This record gives sequence, C-alpha cells and structure tokens, in this order.
Amino acid sequence: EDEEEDEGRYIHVWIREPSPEKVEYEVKGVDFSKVLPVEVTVEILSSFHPKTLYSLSFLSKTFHAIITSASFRPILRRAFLFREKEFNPAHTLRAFFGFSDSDSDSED
Amino acid sequence: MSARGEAEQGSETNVTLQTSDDEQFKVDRDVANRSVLIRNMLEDVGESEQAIPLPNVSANVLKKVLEWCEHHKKDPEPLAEDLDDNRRKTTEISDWDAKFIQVDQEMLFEIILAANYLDIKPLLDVGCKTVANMIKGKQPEEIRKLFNIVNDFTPEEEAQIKKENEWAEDR
Repeated sequence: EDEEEDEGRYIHVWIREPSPEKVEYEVKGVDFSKVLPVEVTVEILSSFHPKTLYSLSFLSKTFHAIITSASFRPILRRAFLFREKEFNPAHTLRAFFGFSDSDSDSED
Repeated sequence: MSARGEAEQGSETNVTLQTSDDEQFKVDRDVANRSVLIRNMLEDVGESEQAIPLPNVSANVLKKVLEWCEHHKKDPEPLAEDLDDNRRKTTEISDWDAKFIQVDQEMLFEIILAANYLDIKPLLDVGCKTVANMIKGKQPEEIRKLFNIVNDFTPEEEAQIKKENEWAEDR
C-alpha cells in the first residue's frame, strides 16, 4: 500500500530549455556604464546619432552624466558637423549637450 | 646581446605573462606584441626570462585575449589616423571577430577592460562595436533590460530635464 502512495507523489514536469541568447541576455546583464572607464563608454556611444544620444541620456543618471560631460563634447561636435544637413534643429540639441552657438568654430 | 637580427627576433622569442590569479602563459613575442603595453615593457626591459605581471587580467580573460592576439598576430600595423577614421566610419566586424566575441556580457566587458588596459586598440574596437550593435535600434526600456540598467531618475527629475529641453522631444 505504502509503495503505491509514494508513486502517486511524483509528477513529471517538462521544463522547456530557454534558447542560449535568452540566457545570455536575461541572466547576465551588465550595466557597463558602471564597469568600464568613462572613455571606453564614450567610445561605445561615439557612433550614435545625436538624437539617439539624447534618448540614451535618460537611461540612468550615470549615462546622463557621461553623455552631457565635457569628455563627450569632441564626439558630439564631430557628430553634429557630420550630420548638419540631415539634422535640422541642430542648434536646439546643441544647447542640451552644452554648446552655445558661438562654440562651434572654437577649438578643433 | 642577441646575435639575431631585429626582424627575426620577433617570432622566435617567447614571453611569459603572469595573470592576477598567478597563472603563467608562455606566448610568441609576435602574439604578445599585439599589446602596446607589453610591447613597450619588453622594449624597456629588453631580453628577460622574467614573467611580465599583468595584475589587472585574470587567466580566463587572458586566455581569450591571447586567442585573439594569436589569430591577429600577422595583421599589419594600422596607421594612427587610419585607425581613428575607420573606427568612426564602420560598425562592421569581421566574421572571425564576431564569432570570437560571442560570449556572455560579463566576459565581453572583461575583454574590453583587458584590451583597454593592455592597449590592444583593434580588440577594444571590436568590443566597443559589439556593444554599440547591441544597443542599436532598441528602445530605452529594452536597453535597460538587456544591460540591467536601473533607471535612477525619479519621474519628477526626468520630467524636469525633458521640460527644459522640450524642443528636443520628438515632434
């Protein structure tokens, strides 16, 4: 009698294995802005459009600080020069990133 | 000290590298030379049997980095300005590099840190492009989820910054 009862307790459960990409992303996300030196994070972000950078600056306070920091200015200056034509309200975004219009021909 | 010519010297000597967790790796000088940090150290020290300590790199990361250096040991030295230009122009990564860098995020950022410390620009570049590609085309919320980024703005703070920059908000 006992044996029969024991057997009844086992339930077979089939667990679906997640795909490898999912494991990678969901288990081990690393906030690189807190791990990498600022200049490396700047390098990672250097290829993005100013508009994208504006939205990335709201990811967290760390990202905001990096993207609006002085070490990011040369990258932005280049990005703006590069995209001036496709990018109309450039002067307004400039203000967000801390340039004034008279800034544009100084340095470099 | 050496009777061999400069050109020959590169491929024939071995260099011993010592990791933060006290493992030693013996590699071709060619391979080690991919790291500007190590190359400079070797130039300063000259021929030496002594292991070069790399206190910022652990064995499992160095192993991976050396795999990259080994594969790229014959790459021509890029010109400084070329490097800079290419880096900006393209987000492409070679097939071998793309496969090499398919690791979990922890390892990815360890490799980036090591490449930065060891001054291996092309490898640092592969790492940075990989992360940039992971960000590309995603919404902020997806990016936060992917990299485990905590939004530490209060709704009020966020609203305040956005208000100050109303013109930048999409219209």
